[in-house]
Amino acid sequence: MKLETAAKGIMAVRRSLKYWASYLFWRPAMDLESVVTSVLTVLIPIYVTSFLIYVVRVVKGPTLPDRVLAVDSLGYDLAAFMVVLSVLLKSPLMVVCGLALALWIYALDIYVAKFLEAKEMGG
Amino acid sequence: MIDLALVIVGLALIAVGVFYDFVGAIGLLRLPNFFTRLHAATAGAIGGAVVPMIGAALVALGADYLGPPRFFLAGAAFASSLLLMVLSQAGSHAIARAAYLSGEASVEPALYDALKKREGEV
Repeated sequence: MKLETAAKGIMAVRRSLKYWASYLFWRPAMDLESVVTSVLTVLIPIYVTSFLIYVVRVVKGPTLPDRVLAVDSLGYDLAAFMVVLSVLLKSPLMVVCGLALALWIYALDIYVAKFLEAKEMGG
Repeated sequence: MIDLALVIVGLALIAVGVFYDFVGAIGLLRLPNFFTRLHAATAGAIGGAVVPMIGAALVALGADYLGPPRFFLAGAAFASSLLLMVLSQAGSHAIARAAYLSGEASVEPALYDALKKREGEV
């Protein structure tokens, strides 16, 4: 009688161990879309935080080159953010905007550099 | 299988780019001088813009659910990353040269300024 109860207890413990172990190795059935969406959703707030820090430097910057440099970094990272966002939103339209934004930022660099060196905007 | 590998590598590249972006932003805020801030800004431009663009292109190539427009997305992202790799460095170099030559930004915490005009120089 005692042996039977002991065996029952051991079986119960083993069953409960299996039960909890199945929770330990449990994984949701994730397809590709939900993986991409969840990872990008986690990463986007960090992007937005760094944008805010860039904006602080744009407002604070003591001299003109500092402000232009901060606007540069803001624009390049905004272009990358547009590419990431178009992957997240499943529409390829925003990529072209990122490409054009990169070119405009380069034009801003060259214009400001020429203005600082020669004190003229030059056509 | 190759789709899953492409997506995982692309997401890892995007995560590395976000890290670079955040570090570049902190450096741009905290460094004392224009010419030291330039270092943080270019690190943020290459690591924070070129790398996640290549990562997004890989993700778009691997993700089947985006449909046929994903090839357009991947190609445009790759092209803009190549463009940015050249243009950001050229632009920062131009703005640094202009800032030094016009005397707009000071080199104040510097130990030695090799470009400064000495006495007797033209």
